[in-house]
Amino acid sequence: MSSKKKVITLRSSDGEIFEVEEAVALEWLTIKPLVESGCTDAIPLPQVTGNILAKVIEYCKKHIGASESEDRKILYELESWDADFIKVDQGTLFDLIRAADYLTIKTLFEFTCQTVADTIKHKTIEEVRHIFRESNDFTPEEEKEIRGKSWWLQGL
Amino acid sequence: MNDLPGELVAVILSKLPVNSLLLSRAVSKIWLEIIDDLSFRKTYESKSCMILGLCCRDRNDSTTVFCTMTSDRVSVVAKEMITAEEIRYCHLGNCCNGLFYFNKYHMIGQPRRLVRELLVFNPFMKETLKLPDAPKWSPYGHNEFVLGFDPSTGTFKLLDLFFEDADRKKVRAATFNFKTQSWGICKASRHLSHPVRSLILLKHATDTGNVYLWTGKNCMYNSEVGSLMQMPDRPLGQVILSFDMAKEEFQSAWFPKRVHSMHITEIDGKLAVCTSGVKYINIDVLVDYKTQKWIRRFQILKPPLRILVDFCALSEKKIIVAYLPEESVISTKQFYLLDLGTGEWTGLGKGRFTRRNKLFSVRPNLVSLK
Repeated sequence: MSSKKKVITLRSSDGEIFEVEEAVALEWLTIKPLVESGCTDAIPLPQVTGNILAKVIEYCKKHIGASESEDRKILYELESWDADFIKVDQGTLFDLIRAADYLTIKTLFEFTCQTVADTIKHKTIEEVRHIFRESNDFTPEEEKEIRGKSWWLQGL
Repeated sequence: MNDLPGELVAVILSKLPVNSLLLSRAVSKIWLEIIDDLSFRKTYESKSCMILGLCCRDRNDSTTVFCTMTSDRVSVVAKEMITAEEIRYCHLGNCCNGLFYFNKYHMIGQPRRLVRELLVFNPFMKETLKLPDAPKWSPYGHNEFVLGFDPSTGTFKLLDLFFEDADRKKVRAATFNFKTQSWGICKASRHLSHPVRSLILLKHATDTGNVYLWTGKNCMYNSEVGSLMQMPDRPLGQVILSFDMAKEEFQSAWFPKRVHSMHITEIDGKLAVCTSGVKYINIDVLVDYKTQKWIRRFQILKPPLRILVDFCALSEKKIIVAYLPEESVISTKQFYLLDLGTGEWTGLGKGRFTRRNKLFSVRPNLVSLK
């Protein structure tokens, strides 16, 4: 084995080519079998665009090895790095969730889902509808009944 | 383009605290479907606990939500919710794993006869379930019911305790299994050294499958004299009877000190007793049943000059205490949060809390009873 780290080539849906270390790619369970079989061609990822893939790689590179660290300073730094990393618009955040789900990257998936959950935690129903582009398809009577059942939970 | 598929929305929703989750039902029909899905509800685990003060046989049988707690934050609110019509004028039993047990006695028919109703109520679903009444197991009667949870099978069970002998010394248990919907008598029974008039003053069921019963200070009954009296040595009030819902077995523990009131909880899966002294709140843990050895786990300085009204464990390390303020406005109580990790207490403010209220720490359960 050469001491040089093995590099895996990935191709995004818009044809951009990315190179990542094998160790990073092995965390992505969807492509793990391909990587292990020693595939040398560029692995096509038709569901992920180039700019999202770049973000995903950035996150995984930062997290590899660091998440298991027990050094408090490293963990604290990682936390603040994460907070900066996730300051993206709604569309990008949803794209990251989809990408993390498609590539089966557990840490990124949990982190992005929790971020969305935290943002909607204290929002009103109207605000949540706006974020998720859900339209209110209840009749006024239905909505009144559903809201009436849980009115006491408001503002808790 | 921006829409997430339903299964990803479900993952996000599963990370919400219970109040936001239930409110989100009103967002759209798709969300309502996701949240009301049975498999979603079964796997949903609430990270937050709520302290509910339940009040029964009051003017309006209301429930007050006192505070909610997530792993990192305690937020205090005093908010009234009116509970279901079905549990009006019922006696409040105990709470286990998000469900409350109630009973109700009333006269019906001609000639008049007494009917007992056993009810289970889920405050988060506003749902009430009536359980079939227990058969008459023995002629010596006096049933006590406690709702418990058997984690080995994931089933709720209603425990029925009764006396097997005329002396009221031999306690035996029967359970109603929610899954099989049937009553069954347990093998286990327990001999008590003294006869008991009323079995239980304090009932506590844990989510981990244990039920603790304490007879209280004045529950001794002398059959010769025919009245209540206190036993000179080892009064029964110091015995805590525990029942394992999975194994269906009894154990008993002697609490080494005579106390007027106590609160039972579990710390690290072991029986823990909180008692209030003159200056301190003490928390003792039973090491094991065989040696009956207790260790003092915590001693916390009490908030000054107040009478303790109710205890409620929020988590293993946090306890909510209700105190009567000095200038006693009967229905107002002061709430404190005791942090067992640091030994400190913080005031949580006042709340309307009548004598009939009782504090419960509830881990929300969203699975329908039906």
